[in-house]
Amino acid sequence: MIADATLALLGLALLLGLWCTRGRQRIARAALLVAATAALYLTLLPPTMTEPTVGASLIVVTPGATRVQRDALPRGGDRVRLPGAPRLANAVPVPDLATALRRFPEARDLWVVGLGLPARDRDAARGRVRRFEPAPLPRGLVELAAPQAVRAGEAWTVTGRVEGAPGGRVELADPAGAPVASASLSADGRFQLAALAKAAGPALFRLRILDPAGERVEDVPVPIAALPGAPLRVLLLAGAPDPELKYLRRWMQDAGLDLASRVALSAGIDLREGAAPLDAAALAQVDLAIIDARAWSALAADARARVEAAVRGGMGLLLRLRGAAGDAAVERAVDDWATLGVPLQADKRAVDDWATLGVPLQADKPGSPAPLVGQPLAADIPLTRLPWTVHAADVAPLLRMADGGTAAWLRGRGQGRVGVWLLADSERLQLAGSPAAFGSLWSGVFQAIARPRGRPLPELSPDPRRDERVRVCALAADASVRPANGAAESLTPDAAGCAGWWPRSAGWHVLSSAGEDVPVWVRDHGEAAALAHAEQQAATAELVSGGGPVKLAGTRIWPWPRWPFFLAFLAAVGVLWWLERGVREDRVNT
Amino acid sequence: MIVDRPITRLRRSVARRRIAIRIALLLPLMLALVALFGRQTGIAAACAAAFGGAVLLGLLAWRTWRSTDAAWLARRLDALDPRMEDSAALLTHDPRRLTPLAGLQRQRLQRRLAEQGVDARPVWPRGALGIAWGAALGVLLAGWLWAPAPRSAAGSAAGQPAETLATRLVQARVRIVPPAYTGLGAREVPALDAEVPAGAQLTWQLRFAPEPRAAALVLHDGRRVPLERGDGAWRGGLALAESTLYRVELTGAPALKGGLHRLDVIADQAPTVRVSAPEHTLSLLASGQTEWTLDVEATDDYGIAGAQLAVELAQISGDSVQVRAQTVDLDGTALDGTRHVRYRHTLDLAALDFAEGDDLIVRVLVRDNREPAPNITRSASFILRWPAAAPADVADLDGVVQRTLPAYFRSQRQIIIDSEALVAARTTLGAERFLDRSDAIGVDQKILRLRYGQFLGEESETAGQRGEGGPQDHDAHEHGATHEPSAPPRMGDAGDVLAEYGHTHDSAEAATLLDPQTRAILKSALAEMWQAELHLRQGEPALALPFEYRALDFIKQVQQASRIYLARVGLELPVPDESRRLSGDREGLADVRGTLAPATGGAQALGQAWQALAGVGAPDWNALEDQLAARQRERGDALEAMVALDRARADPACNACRRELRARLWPLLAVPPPVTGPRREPDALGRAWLERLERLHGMPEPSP
Repeated sequence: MIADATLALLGLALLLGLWCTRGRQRIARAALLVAATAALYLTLLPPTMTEPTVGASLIVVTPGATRVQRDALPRGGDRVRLPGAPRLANAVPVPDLATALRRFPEARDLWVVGLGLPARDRDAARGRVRRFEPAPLPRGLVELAAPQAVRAGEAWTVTGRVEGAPGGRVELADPAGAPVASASLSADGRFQLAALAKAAGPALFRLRILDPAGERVEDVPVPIAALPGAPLRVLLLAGAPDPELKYLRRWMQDAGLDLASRVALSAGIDLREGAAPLDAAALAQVDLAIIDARAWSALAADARARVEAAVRGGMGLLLRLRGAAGDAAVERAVDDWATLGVPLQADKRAVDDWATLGVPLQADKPGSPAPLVGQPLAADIPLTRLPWTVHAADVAPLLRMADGGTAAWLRGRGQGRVGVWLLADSERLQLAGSPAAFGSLWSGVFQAIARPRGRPLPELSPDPRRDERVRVCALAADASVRPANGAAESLTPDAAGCAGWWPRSAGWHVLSSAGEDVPVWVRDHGEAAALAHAEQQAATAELVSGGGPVKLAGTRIWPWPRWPFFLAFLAAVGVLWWLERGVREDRVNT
Repeated sequence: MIVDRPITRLRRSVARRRIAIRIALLLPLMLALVALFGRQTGIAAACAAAFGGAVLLGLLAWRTWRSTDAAWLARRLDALDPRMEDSAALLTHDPRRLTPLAGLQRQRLQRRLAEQGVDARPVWPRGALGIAWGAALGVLLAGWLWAPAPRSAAGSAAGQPAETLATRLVQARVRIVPPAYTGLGAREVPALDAEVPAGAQLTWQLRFAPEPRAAALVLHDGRRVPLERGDGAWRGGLALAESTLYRVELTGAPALKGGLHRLDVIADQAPTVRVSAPEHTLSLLASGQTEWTLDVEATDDYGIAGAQLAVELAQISGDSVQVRAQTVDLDGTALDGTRHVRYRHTLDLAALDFAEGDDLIVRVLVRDNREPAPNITRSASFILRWPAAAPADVADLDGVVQRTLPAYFRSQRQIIIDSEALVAARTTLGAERFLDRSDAIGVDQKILRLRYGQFLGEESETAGQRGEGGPQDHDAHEHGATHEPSAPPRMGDAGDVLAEYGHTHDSAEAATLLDPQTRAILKSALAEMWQAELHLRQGEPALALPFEYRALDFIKQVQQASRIYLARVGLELPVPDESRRLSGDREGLADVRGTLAPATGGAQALGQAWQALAGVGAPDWNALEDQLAARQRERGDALEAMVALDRARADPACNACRRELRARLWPLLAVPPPVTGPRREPDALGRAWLERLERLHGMPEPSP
């Protein structure tokens, strides 16, 4: 296109020139004009030459490549260096990888050295990276995993890995700067810390990494968005009061849930909170029903059918098992629950064990207590699991214990979910002085089982950074993002609900989608630099593919240098000028 | 070139007019732009811009002057006046170089000019001038309305240009005179914030520009310290007992810049006592030991006034215990002035009449030089015991009998005896000493009450002491040391995990229960003790005596009660109605409803403010301020948050101030019970998957 236009323009100019050529030495001047035009054209668009190539990889030197790595590179082969990369003999500086690939179109694959390819170059490199030699990671935090959002009051955990500070410590400081948790780094630099999200709203914790001498290595902000709660409508039916119920009801009241409960005390006498009708209309409003085995057995057949129908319609159902295997009501409820897709069986292993010990087979003896897994504040409080287990292919464990047992199970049923609660004494978390652990445990269970009413949280690409593209998914059509002090900027999600976003400022932003606001922290350029490098390296390492699917010709197309044509053009124009000058003087004199 | 004088004059006048017209056209626009620029960036920049504009206009004038040359004038004259006959250029030529005909024409023209002057000056372009001034006015108006108010004048959002109208604090001096006993010299600080020793006298000396009519310091708790005017400065004083915030309030002058100032009080610490000998609180008499050496070191932040040794000899024979008490003043050797003193004392056991089976109990009381009342620290009690010969019949109980330190507290009977003795000695004692002793008996009464209260599952000692922390609180003597009132008002708050993390809705779980009758009697006894303590604390032992007697009476009844039940579980079941039992009579039974009481609302405003400050809107400042003030009254840890609040409130555009306030609010936030929310909806794909599954497995699966 450009070549054609240039050609046309030059041709026109040439014709005009020839038309105007009069006077002495007309032929010579016309010839010179043609020569100058041709030389100009070749300067602008030099011809290409084709030469056979060795088909070697293109070596891409990225920032952070060490001297050792650079010295170890093979002598031959084409090499380019990306902006910020150290100098290297014979390496052509290129502004980005796509340019390098245009300059070296014969490059069959890439050999990347250094900290890796930045985000803008990864698409160009996809499927081409044959080999990646990562540079050693800088000192500091290189892995970080913290929840994007938690509910207010919940306990949360941050884990990560620190490079280059063996024997050091990490401290988690709260927004006021006071340390709330600290831990020593393990041999491979890993750590795990827990803290509480006190109130709804964004809170900026800080992770201080200290070396063994107590010197500050790095200070990385850990943003936590605490979301306010929603008043779930909970229906609680129990055959008898028990300590777990006591604290569960207390917690539900304190957490602002809309609780309707009926705890049987005696024949026809209940402990009631609110109205707990079991008709279909009422059940359609309930988000979560918690029913224990005795209450289940006491339900009429049609009430059970209505509960099951409500589950298919989306209601959550948590079945609590309290009671021995020999209890007729429990047995009956367990039989019944099998039709809900959660067939329970007494733990055969325990039963067999006890049989070999000569103890009479009593399936109602619980196993040894063990702490729960994944509950940061409850890690050292052993709890007891009832010796039941669920035998079905498609149930999922909801809560695991440190001894490998499962304390709660979960399975989908229509649009709703059914959970089975086998923990005998979760109230011990509360009694051990950790109401936050108790509440966090139940909050997590409720959020896993209750009726799906909440919009999905927007999913962001990890660790949003200023001036780097952030991919946001699960957005509603009205999504917008607003910096702490600035105007809202609307996002335009595609059909899949994903949108791109370039944060222009660092700090807290509010991502609004479908009426829900989620605070998002955008890191600044220099913030958590080691983490950014590590992410870049990991992303580059993911690009490495073993086979080279791109098979290009074994020749290399190479543009002629421009300078000889330019010299020729200058010479022709110079001579032309000299001749034309003579012609002009002639004209003036005449 | 020789040019006539009239022509030169003409040229000059024309050039002047041209310059005037051009300037008049350009000036309004330039002025408008300078004014707008000045509004945006300040007066200095406006001056610079005006200077630049003047230079530009000057250049323009110079160019116009230069361009208005003779040739121009000639053209102009030709165009203007037909009488010039298109030959005005001749006027500008040297007549000697002209041809005769041209010279003749030149003379004609000169004559015509002289006869009838020509006004070659351009007329004022009225229309253009009007448009120029109108446009300038429009630009000015539009700029004024559209341009955003500049940052520096954020205060002017409220309608007052802050820069020029705020009063300046020309001089600020606070003279701090610590109490004499501290031995610290007076000093002056050139700032409004200071750290001062407790009880220091502060004198402010402030100069303002412009002068206000009146000035006062307003403390955050509402107190006002009016400032007096004298030789150019405003002066005022205050004796400071606890940390506080204040602001300077002016009448008749614009407010000062800068918000709250902070005065931190460094409390006078009680002395610390370290006993190096004896090493243990209970020592047994070594064989051949005739004396007992005590070695005590005491340190204090300002100075130690003195130390006493309280020696009590408990002579025990059988069931009767005789106690003799005496006090010895100790002489110390100063290690670091009066701040660090070492006391050595040797008790001669023989002189004390120490015999087999006796306990010798000593305590060291160190007081510092604080005024008006010293801080007194008591060491632990050290006991020297001369073990009585063990009776033969308990030899088998070795493993059972444990050597524990007995709890020392007075019996109700002892309290009555003390009270009667005090009433009798009333005339011989001074009023203050009488009050002190009465109060001490009151403390004994309290300890006894708490001791009995434990049997009823009442709250323990710390809870019982809340709100009793007066400066003269002798009660605290029982626990080792008196503390400054401004020291953290509730010791042990930091460890009060239950209060911080949860609600205590019922605490009787582990209480010891008595049978109901005994319980009732004991409750009556406690009620009497309350009354007795009340009167004793008020220094009226005579009034307290009847209550003491009644309490003793009740206690005797309790002691005579047949049994005391120790319940393992704190569950008080109602007594079953035996007449209805097993009769099947269900009359009057009903559901139990609504037993869950909502938790008492905590500091809601703090959490709301924490959330609101993260956004762009303003939180409810008044509610937050009230909450912080209440918190400061209760716990005394909200001063920093109050300062931050003041700053953030004064400057709504200051993001750093909001962040600072949030950081200060965080420690004050209560930990709420974790909230929960609904399950997140599956996306379209997930929903379709579930629906498909439902269609496939519409029927319940058979259990395996």
